[in-house]
Amino acid sequence: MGNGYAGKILKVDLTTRQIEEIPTSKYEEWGGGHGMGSAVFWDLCEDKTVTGDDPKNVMTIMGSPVSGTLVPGASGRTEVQAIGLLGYPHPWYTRGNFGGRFSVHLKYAGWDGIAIVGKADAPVWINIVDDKVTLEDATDLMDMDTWKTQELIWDDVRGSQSDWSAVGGSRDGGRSTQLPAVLTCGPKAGTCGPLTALIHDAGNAVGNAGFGGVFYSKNLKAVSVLGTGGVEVADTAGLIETRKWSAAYAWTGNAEDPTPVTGSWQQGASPGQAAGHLGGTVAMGDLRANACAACPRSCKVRSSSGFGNESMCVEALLNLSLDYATNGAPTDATPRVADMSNRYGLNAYQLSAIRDWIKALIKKDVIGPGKQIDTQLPIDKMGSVEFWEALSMAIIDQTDIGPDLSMGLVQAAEKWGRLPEDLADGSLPLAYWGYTHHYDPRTEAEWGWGSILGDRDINEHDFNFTCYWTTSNWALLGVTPPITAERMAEIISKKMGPYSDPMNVDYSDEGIYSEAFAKTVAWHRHYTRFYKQSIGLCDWYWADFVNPYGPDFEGITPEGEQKFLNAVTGGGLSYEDGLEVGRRIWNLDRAIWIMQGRHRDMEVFPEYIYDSVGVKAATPYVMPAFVDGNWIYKDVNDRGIDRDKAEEFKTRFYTLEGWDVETGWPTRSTLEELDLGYVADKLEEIGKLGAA
Amino acid sequence: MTPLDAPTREDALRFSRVAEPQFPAVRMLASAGNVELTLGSVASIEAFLTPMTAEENLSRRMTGFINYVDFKSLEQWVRETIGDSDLADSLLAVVDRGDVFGVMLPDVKQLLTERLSQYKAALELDPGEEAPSDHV
Repeated sequence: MGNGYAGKILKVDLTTRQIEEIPTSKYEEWGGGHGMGSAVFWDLCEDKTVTGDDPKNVMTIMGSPVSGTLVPGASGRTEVQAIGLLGYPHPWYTRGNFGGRFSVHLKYAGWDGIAIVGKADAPVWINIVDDKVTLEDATDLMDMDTWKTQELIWDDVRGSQSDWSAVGGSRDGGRSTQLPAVLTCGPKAGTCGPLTALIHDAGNAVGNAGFGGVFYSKNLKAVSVLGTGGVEVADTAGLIETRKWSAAYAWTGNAEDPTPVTGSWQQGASPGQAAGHLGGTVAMGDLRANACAACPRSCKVRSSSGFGNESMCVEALLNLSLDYATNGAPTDATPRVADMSNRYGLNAYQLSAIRDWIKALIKKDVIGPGKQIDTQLPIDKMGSVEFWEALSMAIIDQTDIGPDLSMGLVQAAEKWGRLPEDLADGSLPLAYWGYTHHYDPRTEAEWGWGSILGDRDINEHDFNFTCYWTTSNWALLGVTPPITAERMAEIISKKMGPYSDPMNVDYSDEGIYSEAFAKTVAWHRHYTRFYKQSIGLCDWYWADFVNPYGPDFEGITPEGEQKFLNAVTGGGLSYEDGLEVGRRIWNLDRAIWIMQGRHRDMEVFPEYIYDSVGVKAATPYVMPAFVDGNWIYKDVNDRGIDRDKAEEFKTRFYTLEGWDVETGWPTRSTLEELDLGYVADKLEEIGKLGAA
Repeated sequence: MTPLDAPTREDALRFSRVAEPQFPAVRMLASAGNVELTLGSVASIEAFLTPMTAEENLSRRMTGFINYVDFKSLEQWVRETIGDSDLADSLLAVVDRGDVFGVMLPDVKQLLTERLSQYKAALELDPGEEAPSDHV
């Protein structure tokens, strides 16, 4: 009987070209994914203060026990972590993940994850075919785009068998029908590190953090993996039964479902149905559903036009606003620009910030030929493929303003003498640590708190789908909510485990600074660190708070998480146990950030987020709020973050976490309670252990 | 809704133009956040507005979207920037009902669609033909 783990982690030392195995059992207590990756990073990265492009930086690419199994919305997620290249004032040790089939092949090849250390003396790509791991010459690949790179690696692994991939030497057992799963950086990713992503297949991206540049800095172009084995789980029948049980929670579970209740429920699935192309942006030919491995949701599509395949997130919107402004409606420029960001391995979120910043700079009349920001880019043609191609090539080839942008946008603003003004008025839309403004910290407070208390734009939609998107839809489209705000608050608070509080989702002007909201943020940090980022539950599927198919509108969380995980591992982990592992991971990560220089004083938003500036969110934000003794759905759009109250909130949060409220550093007792005494020793050694 | 008086050819040309300052709008998309954009003409705003029921929209789950504009601001923009006071008056009548966005949306869309038809008729354009937009 298996437990979902393959049993070994691959360690590749690019400097010495040594291939080693690390027993997974050494790290199983962390679950997998991010937790395991952080623990491996802690052990292997000798100097955690190095920059992301230093050979001493360690990158881990991790699956989880559920990778390659039938756990829905989880099987195909892969977690990546390292010290990043994107960020201000400091690129933190950070993470990202992507969907597709990489983690599946990794498990089928017999590996729970990969740890990459050192730097190769010449360009390489890592070729994993089951147990066989080799470093291949990547000299000719380094300047190639991500799609061409994958095609060449596929051909290389196929060998002489044009339709098959080579997995061994025998005539009958030496080939596979599967294409290897490849993760690669874009062309010349080392020149524009903070703006780079890693890409797998057409459109699965580790977008943020600049991990493409980290690859490149190690002289590593790609990792390819082809596996022909399987995953042994503890309770196969139990896993199948759990999957069937979970299907009962699936809104629009099949094409005939009349969707009787309106909502944006997480567990909804549409097996076989193609989602709207590019989020309904533009229909480009016939569509076919596309999903990550073992996922019934099929969020993505492929189109007969070949444009925009697998593009579902921000890259799908990159050119949309410009398309409207230029052409009055979406054109094929929008999916072609989405493809461009994937093909060049550029981070679409940073590109979207560049887009909005250039638009603002044009209004301020400071960018253009001969102006303060002197550029020959065709900024009069924003919205066209021509503009994006020119911008991308300026970044990749380091021409025009490309070298400045490639330093990072905050750094470019500093060089251009525009930082104070543009960051303060929101022209440069970077809401947390130099990451692009995503959902608004002023309204969706848990998004903002989680990001600024962490390492990046959290990009976690647990509350967003239910408490903002669903409720705002109801309000904007004139729907009578199927449940009251009071019932929504009640359901969600029931699912918060030890952080349960009746006021957990009070998004009122006072509520977002409350003790109860600090518990909400703590739950979110701990839940996602374990269940999403270490076990791999997809952010677009989990958590499931409110669900019209559940009993009395109660979603599948937390029963679903436990049933699936324990069916795979055979363990008896409780929901609360998982949250506690998440808390442990969160504290380990925080210790790494502290070693990098983190202090309470740094955990602040840019000026435009605070109420002194008055730049407000542009749309209604209807969320549950407790006002004058009643729960209501309230538009909370018209507010900024109060600086004094934000500081009070941080004190509440630090206290809840067991951190020194003066510094934000964990205390020894907190770390020892989490069996992280060795981490406390290290922080004490460098004089950064929180005062008791 | 009472049909508006047909504009003169001269007015239709003026009302059809791409104007500055452009009008702010927001593409609300569950999967990727909200994208602010600007629209420069009545035609582009009409194309942007996408009436749908909540059921239709939410059945898309993460791919659901709302193309949002503030109708009160739209009325002011049409009056002050475009200069089509007849259309602005009709928009104001819808806004003054005090309905939520989704209830007003089909009526606003219809108003704009019909007004665009009047522009095209005045300009002697075929229904599918674009009005010239590079003139004031």
